[in-house]
Amino acid sequence: MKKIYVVLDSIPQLEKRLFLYIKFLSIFVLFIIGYYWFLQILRHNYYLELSEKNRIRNIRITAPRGVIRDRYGVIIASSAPSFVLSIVKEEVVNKDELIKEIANVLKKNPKEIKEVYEAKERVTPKFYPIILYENLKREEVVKIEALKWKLKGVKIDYKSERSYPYNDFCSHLIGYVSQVSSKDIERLKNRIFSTKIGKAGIENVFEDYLKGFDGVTRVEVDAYGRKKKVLYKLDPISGGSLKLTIDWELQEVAEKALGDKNGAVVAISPKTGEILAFVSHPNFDPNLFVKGFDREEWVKITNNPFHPLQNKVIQGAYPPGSTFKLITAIAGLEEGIIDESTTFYCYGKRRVGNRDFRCWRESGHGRVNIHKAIVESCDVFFYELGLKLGPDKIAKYARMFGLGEKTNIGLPGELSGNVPDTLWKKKKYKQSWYDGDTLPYAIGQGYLTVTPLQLALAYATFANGGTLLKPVIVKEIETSDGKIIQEQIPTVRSDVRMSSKTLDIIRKALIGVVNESGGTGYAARVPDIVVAGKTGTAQVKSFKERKKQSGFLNDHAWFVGFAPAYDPEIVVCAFIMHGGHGGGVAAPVVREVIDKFYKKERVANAKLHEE
Amino acid sequence: MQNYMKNNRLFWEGIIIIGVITLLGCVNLYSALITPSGTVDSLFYRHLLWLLVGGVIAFFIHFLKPIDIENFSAIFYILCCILLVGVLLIGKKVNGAQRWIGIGSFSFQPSEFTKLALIFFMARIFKQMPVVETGYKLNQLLVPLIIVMIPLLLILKQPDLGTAIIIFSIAFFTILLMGVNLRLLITFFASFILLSPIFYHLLKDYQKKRFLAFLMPEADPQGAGYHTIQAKIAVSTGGMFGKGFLRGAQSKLGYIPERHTDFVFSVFAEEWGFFGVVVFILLYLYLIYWMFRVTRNINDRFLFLSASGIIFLFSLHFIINIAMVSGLFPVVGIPLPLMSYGGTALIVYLVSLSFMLKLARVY
Repeated sequence: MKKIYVVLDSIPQLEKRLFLYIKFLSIFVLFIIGYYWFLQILRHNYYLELSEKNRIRNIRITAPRGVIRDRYGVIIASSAPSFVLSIVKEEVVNKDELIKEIANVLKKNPKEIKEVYEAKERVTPKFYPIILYENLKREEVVKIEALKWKLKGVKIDYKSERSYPYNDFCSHLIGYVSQVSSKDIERLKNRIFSTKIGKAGIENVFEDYLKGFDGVTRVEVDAYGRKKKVLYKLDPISGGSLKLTIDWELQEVAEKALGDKNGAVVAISPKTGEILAFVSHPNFDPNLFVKGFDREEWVKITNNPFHPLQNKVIQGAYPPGSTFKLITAIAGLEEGIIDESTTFYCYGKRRVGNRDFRCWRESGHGRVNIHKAIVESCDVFFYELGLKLGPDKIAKYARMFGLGEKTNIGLPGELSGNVPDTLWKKKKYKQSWYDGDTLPYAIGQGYLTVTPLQLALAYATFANGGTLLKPVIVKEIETSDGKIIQEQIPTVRSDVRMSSKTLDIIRKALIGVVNESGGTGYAARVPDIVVAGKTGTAQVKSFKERKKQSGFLNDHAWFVGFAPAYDPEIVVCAFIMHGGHGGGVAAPVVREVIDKFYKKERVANAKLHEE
Repeated sequence: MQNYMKNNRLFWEGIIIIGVITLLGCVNLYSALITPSGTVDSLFYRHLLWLLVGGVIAFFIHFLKPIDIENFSAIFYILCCILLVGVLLIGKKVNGAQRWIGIGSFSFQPSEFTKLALIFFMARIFKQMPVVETGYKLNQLLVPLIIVMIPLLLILKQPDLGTAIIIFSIAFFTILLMGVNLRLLITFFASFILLSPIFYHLLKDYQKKRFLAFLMPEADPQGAGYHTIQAKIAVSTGGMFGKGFLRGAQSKLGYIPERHTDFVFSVFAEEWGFFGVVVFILLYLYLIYWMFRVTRNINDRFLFLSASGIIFLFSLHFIINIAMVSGLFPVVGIPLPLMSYGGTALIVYLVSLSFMLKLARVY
């Protein structure tokens, strides 16, 4: 072989330097291996966690909320699918074009959509779809699905959402669900803030039964947030359904009968304490709370002087007026101060000290006994009786019938009303009790206040012969696995002892109120059924003050009735704020409800027999 | 003849180590390019095609005499410079950088060839220069410096900072190997440090971001730090023995950008774990040591410098790439030879190795 290459003396030196480089390199590589050890072994768990955060997403599946039914199974609150429009940012080709297309479909202003989009984008974590609109209409969904090829990046999901098919029907009792507030989040630590919870009424009280348990899907997503694999799925458990004691048809009639008048109607069964109708007006549409209010809608509710959100059945306490004469009369009879033949003379007014207390009939009722006094609602008779009884005796009987204390219906914000006596006045005003305080007290005015539910229960206590019951609103709860729970069962709070003579006298008088000519509750008569009851007209202001003011502060109108008079199955209490005379305004409302109750009872029985 | 037989063993050793690493590269690239539907991306077949093309070219290079390469080095260098000018004139623009020249559906990167051309041409220049006992002074280095500056500036213009750094380092390495005056070396480093703020100022915005992201990747995890963090997650979650072939979640779910090119090693580290990483690094060190053993036998200055340059080329890419993937080095576009996808680079590496194999046989 021919030797072509010349050996140069510099080669050994070059080789030494090259070898030095190799040595340096090896040290570097060793160092890098050490770093890989640090990264892959020592920091393994830390990065594993980062990686899970990277690729694992927990997608919550909201449990369908349990439905709420009336006693016969009519659905008052349901869980309906709600369509949600969201945008997957990573798939969007041209944002402005897309917004224009969406605006076309939803018939909205593109500028407005852009604003919503940008606001939502800020609060949405990266790689999550941006939820643009909830509660889409079905036809909008159809349109979007049809234009899907054009709307790249748009996604339609559906979730279960609370819906109240009869809108404002029974709204105060049912309550509503809405977005949890920051305060709620603190309270309900384990629940995520995107859910809605019961905020008022039954929805609030029975939240734990209704909400169910949310499910979760754990998915692996790629770098663009696309779902790749479902790793784990936990199905949601839907909430238990409630069966209320409410009778849908009766409730509807009661609401219609009250119409746009402000006030309350409550119907209960005197045998069980079950509430059959529960109306407070003005009311509200709970659906608005679910979807969130427009400014306009919210202003409408908050500016209403009659407070639509106030539940007037239990959250308002008002003077009961003459309906309270029931209690005064029972006290008089039971204490032996009067009997059926005791009479007082009514001149149209009664003077105490230097003050005149009027009877509602200025010309006077003449000589009156207990029967006539109740039928014609003579005030002077009860002034005389009240003076003989004294405030503490009246208070004792009022409390026996459950006034002055909460009925414990189990709804938030219930008031206990006020049953005054001498001790109370001393505490409250540091004054002794005067006879001038006793007179209005005896006819249900002055310091005395009651809630419509309390009054209905007091009449129920009389109607069933002396059993004070706890009100019942929920008949049964059916959990999602079919178990029946009875949270509320008919409970006796206390027994009121009354002689049969007393019961007889009063019952006859209350029948007279409705059925005798000259009775103040004539408007409450129902064909074929004997209705008994008592009217009430509570002065809001004194005569003098009223004259100064406009007609706005009219009297409160009351009527409490029960039927059939001798074996009562229903008690109805109607209260109309500033409505005027009880006999003229409130009695017809009660009539409507009782009338329906008996027509309905037949229908319901027939239905039961069919099954 | 007996000498020839003895060195045949070194030749076959080289064939085996190169074969093993190339095969490993293919297997790993297959995993990196697997699509969610289970099929492999067509880039994998392109890689095999490039391997074939490169193999054929390398086969013919193998039959060239070393003296031909020495004679040809100047022309090779000039050709590369012309191609680099061509890139700036008619090159394809991808992601804001003009680095490719397209021929039909294929495109190649002249800057890759330039690396090899510079190694050969520098070797040739230095072969003709007298050896200075105290090391070269600046005035003696003028010619080599001009030779470096021409392609360096052309590549910086593309811009391709990663390749420019490699080009500069090759020249620097060759000069160091030949010996440089100590005072000149100190002056160079001192001025480099003093001028580094100016260099930083000259960087493009994305390059500055990458540099800052290297210093503190967590500052912008979705932006500039994304590459580093995601690669680190991939490497780290591999653990001791890895997730197994084709099981790397980070790469399969698309979290690692450039997972088939510059970050291909993160796929390997995720699937084979620390154990695999160590085995791979040892294999690569063995390849470099094999090249050193080949070089050690050479008694020609041109060939010695060329072979040293090739050792440097491989080891520099190797060390920067594995440091970059683990977050020890800023993100620069430097692939891992024989592992990363990239046609031109693959041909260059195969040709270099073919040259080394030839030397193993000759010496």
